[in-house]
Formats: sequence, structure tokens, C-alpha cells
Amino acid sequence: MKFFWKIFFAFTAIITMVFSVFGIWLISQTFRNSLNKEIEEGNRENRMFQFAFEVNMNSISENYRTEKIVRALTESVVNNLDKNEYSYKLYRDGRYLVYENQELRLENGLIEKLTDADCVYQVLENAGKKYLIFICKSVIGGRNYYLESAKDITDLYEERNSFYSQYRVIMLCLVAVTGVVIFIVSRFLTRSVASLSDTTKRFAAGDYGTRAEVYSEDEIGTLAQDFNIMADNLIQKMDELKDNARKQEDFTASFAHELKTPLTSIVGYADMLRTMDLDKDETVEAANYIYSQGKRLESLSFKLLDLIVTQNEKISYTPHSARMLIAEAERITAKSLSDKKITLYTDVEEGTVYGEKDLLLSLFVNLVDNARKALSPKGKITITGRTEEEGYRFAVCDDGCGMPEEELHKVTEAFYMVDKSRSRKEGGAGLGLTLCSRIVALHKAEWKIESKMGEGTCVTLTFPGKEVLHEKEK
Amino acid sequence: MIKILIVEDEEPINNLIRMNLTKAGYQCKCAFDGQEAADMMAAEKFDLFLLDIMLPKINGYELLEYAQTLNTPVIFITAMGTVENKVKGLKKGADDYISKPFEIVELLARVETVLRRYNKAEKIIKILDIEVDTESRTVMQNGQQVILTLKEFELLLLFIRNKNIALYRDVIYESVWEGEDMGESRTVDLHVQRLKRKLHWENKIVAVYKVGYRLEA
Repeated sequence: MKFFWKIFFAFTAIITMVFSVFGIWLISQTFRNSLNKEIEEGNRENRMFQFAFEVNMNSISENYRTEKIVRALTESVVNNLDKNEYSYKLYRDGRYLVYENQELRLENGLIEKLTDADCVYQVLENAGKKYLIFICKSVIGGRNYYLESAKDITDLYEERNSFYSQYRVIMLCLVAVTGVVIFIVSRFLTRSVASLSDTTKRFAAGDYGTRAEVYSEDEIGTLAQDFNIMADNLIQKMDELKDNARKQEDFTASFAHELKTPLTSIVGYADMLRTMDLDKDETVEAANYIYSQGKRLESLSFKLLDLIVTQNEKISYTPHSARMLIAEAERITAKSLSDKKITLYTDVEEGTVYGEKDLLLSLFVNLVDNARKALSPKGKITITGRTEEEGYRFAVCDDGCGMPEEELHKVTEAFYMVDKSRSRKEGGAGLGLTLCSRIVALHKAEWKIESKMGEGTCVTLTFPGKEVLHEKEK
Repeated sequence: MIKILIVEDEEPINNLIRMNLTKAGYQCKCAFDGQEAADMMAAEKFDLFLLDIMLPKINGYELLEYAQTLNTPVIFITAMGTVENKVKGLKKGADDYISKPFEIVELLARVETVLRRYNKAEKIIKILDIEVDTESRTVMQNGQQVILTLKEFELLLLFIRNKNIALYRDVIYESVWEGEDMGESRTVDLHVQRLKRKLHWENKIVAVYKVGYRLEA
């Protein structure tokens, strides 16, 4: 059943019950009080009757106590009592009626119940009316006299019943009004819940822009607000995922392209060699192309391998000498640099760099390689290294062709090349800086690339010192 | 002489295509970016354009529009071999589309097909001591007609179009018989023998060890 209806029925039922119980209790309490009062009064009357009777009887000697006299005596007592409402009766020895002031016969078994003690009373019904009867016993001159006084208390009962009917009507109105009020109230309460529920349904169906209305500051309002926050976060996550998927697609497309291109050459020239009769020059030309494009593929696949390895995101932080690192990088790049007649100057202070040797070497070799590609023959590359407060800072600078400022933020994107033809001629694929940025991140270092068209490029790298590294690891 | 403009920014590939087309008997010019290509298109008359799509400065699609105004056929060569890209290229009006990496034989065949569609192909091929009329499908040698069967004629055309290129047996079979698997069939050898005998070209069509045959011209 709907919550709304649950509230409605529950409250209506509770209120009805409470008021019913209360009302009935009140009315019956009132009635009981009235009844008790009548009983008290009836008791008193009976006593008085008895007393007066006894007094009068005792003032007559036993010989004179004839039935007639007794009757007259009783009559005069009753007249003195002067109570119209009461009916008095006198019995002798059981059920022999001596006197009655009204012709009212009320059958009762009270006389039998009477012990020697006092009085007994009972409420009787006779011909649709209710009577309160008191009977007591007087023993006078050896004879048992029973004095009965009765009062019509039908009024009491009628009053009570009237109250009951009135109350019933009141209750009906009360229930109706309560019902309406509770209906409105719970409708109001559950409206915001229903609204939130609708919003949730819409969202689930695909309307991701929909948000819940916040009607109040209470718990439901808070829930609506929280829902909205959750929706926003969800949308953000979805966009991120879409973005990642797109980036992945782009990467794959670029990768495929970078792979197919050198392959086309290799296959093409090899095909020529096997199916055609080429002269000496042509043969050498074809062989050269096969070689160079093969090397290009080799470089590409190694870089990709490194990219995959660095995805693992966990490296050890072993200390290495900055000088040794640069010296090694110099050695590795010596041949390619001398081939292009480019000189490399190094001015590296003693210092410690924490990380993995192979990755660090890869990083520096890549940077030197990039510098080489940007330079024309007889160009210059400078590597400096200094211990700083935060750690160790390197700078790899060249005075080559530089890059336009607008492109700088894109250079670490996979396969992105500022000058495609130049890069390709030098066997590049646009992955070098992507790899470098991964290595820098893994070592918790920071770097900056500054460049000016026609003037050159400078890459500064700052590696964290021991303490900073510990802090960053936390 | 048919003139072809090769527009491809990768120098090795550009050179590869140029070498092969030249050997097939076409005259070739090379451009390495979109701007250079557009300038050359405007300056000289070409019979066919081979365009890469990913070019610096002006891309292949834009060059295509320009080429269409010149009423010259275009074949796209590119590494983006997805169906989407192929459809896009063809819908924009390219006459054909070849994706990298490609076989030279395939490229030559497509070049020829497009040229033929535009009626730029030579209808009468003069080679060595024969004249081949591709329209009437007749072969004249020293003034005498040489009768060839349907398959023999196709075989002859294949050799002529790929002259000086060693053709693998299965390539010959696929081309002429349009069958997929040659199997143990000696059909190719039998037909080549018959062709050689009919044209007295025993010295011209040479067997290439472990490969197939080559027409030397």
C-alpha cells in the first residue's frame, strides 16, 4: 500500500480509537458518578425511612401494633419524608405487603438476599424503566419488617444514552474532518517524495539533465539536494568515461597510422626487389628505404613498449648519481649527435636523483633526441644540473627551430608532432614526450617546457629530494 | 604519355609510387604537401591524381574538390582504411580508394581501371612486335592477326600492364580466372605456354624461378 495511504489510515484509525475510548470512558464515568449519588441518596432515604419507622413503632406498645395501626404509622412516616419520587413499601415476615404508597410492583429477590445486616440495593428494570431499590430489615417486637424504597432512575440512563448518541455524531464529524486534514497533510508530505521519485525515473530513462526540485529544508529537501549532487557527479563521470573512450580511439587510430606508413614502404620496396629487375642504384635506394623505415618501426615499437611498462605506476626509488646518468645518456646519443655534427655540452653538479635508472635514461635520451631533431647541423645542446632546495634540477636546452607557444600544451599528447614532415624524416612518431611525461610523473618530479620559434627550446626538470619524496609518497 | 601527380607527404612512399608508375610507363610528378600540390595542379595538366588524405597545409578532401573542377580523376591513398573513411572519400567524388599498405600490382591495376574509365588509356597498345586493340580485342603481329582465346587475351593484357614485373602464379590465376585458390592446377603454365607459342614470344615471356613469369619489354 502506498505510504501516503498508510499514514492516512493509521492516523485516522488512531485518532478515532483514542477519541472513542476517551469519550466512552468520560460518559460512563459521569454516569457512574450520578448513579453512585443516587445510590447514596437512596441509601439515606431508606435509612431515614427505617429510622422514622423504628422510632414510631417503638413508641407504640406491642399490643397496639396491629396491621392497621402499622399501616397508618407508615403512611404518616412516608408523608413526613415528603419525597414524591420514592415509592415506599413495607413487608412483614417475608412477602406480606403491609403498606405501599404507590402501586408499583417490582419483582425482586432482594428480601431473600438480606442477611441480618443492613440494607441491600439493586437496580431493576420494569416495563422499560429503571428503578433503584433499597430494602432493609427491621426487627421489631420479634417480627421482621422489610422496608423498601425505590426510585425511578430511568432519567439517568436516558441521559447517558443521549450522551452516547450525541457523541457518536460528534465522532463522525471528527473522523470526517480528521480524515480530510490528514489527507491533505500526508499528500503534502508525500508530494515532495513523489516528485523526487518522478525525477529519479526520468533520470534513469535517460534524461540526464533533469534535477530534483527542492521544496523544503527538511530531510526530504536534503535528500533531493543529495540526489542532485549525485546526478551531477554521475554526469561528470560519464563525460570522463566518454572522453577516455574517445582518447583511446584516437590513440588507436594514430597508432595504426604510424604503423602502416613505414610498413607500406618496407613491403613496397621489398616487392619491387623481388619482382623487378632493378639496376644497382635502384637496388641500393630500395634497400635504404627498407632499412630506414624498419628502424623507424623499431623505434616506435620500443617507445610503445615503454609506454605500456610505465602504465604500471610503481617504481622503486633507488638513488642514482646525476652525473652518471647524464654521462650515460651522452654515451648513448653520441653517435647520432656526431652524425649530424651537433655538440652536447654538459655542466652537471654532483647530486642524487631517486628512481629507476632505465626510465631516467630513457627520459634524457628522448629529450636529447628531440633537441637533435630540432637542430640543424652544427647546432648546440646544453644539459645543466644543480642541487636545489627541493631536490635536483636539470635543464636540457637547444638553440634549434623551437615550437610555437600555442602548441606547447599539446606536445605530450600521443602521436602529436608539431612539424610532422620534419619529425617523420628524422624517424619520429610523436611518442617521445608522451613517454617523458609518464616518466616524470612516476618519479614524482615536475617539469616545464619553454620554447620560442626560431630560437630554441628548454626543458627544465625538478626531481624531489629525499624528504619531499617521503612526503609525496604518503 | 600519361601524366600522373603523386601527392603524399611521406617521402619514402611517394618515391615508391613514383618508381613503380614510371616503370609501368607513366610520367610522374611528386608533391609533398597540399599547397605544393594545388600549385602544381594549377600550373600543369595531369591525367590522374593520386592523393593522400592526411596532408599538411591543404588536406586531400579539399584537393579533391579542386581536382573535380579540373575534370581530372582522383584516387585516394591513405592509411585510414575504415569503411567510414572509404565511403566518405568515394561519396565526395573520388574515383577510387586504396589503403595502405598496398601491393604495387593492385595500385597499377586501379590506376589503369580509372584511366580506362576516363578514356585516357591507350586503346591500342603497341608493344614489342605486336599491336593490341583493346576495344576490338584483336592482336596484330607483323600485319597478321593472331587468334587468341578469351583467357589468353586476358593473360596477354595482364603481362603487358605489368611488364617487367615478375607475376606470381596465384596472382595471375586470381586476375585472369578470378578464382580464389589455384590449388594444384597447371592452368596458368599451360596457358602461358600456349600464348608464348602463338606469339613466338618464347624469349620475351620468361619464367621466374619459384615465382611465375615476367614479360620483358
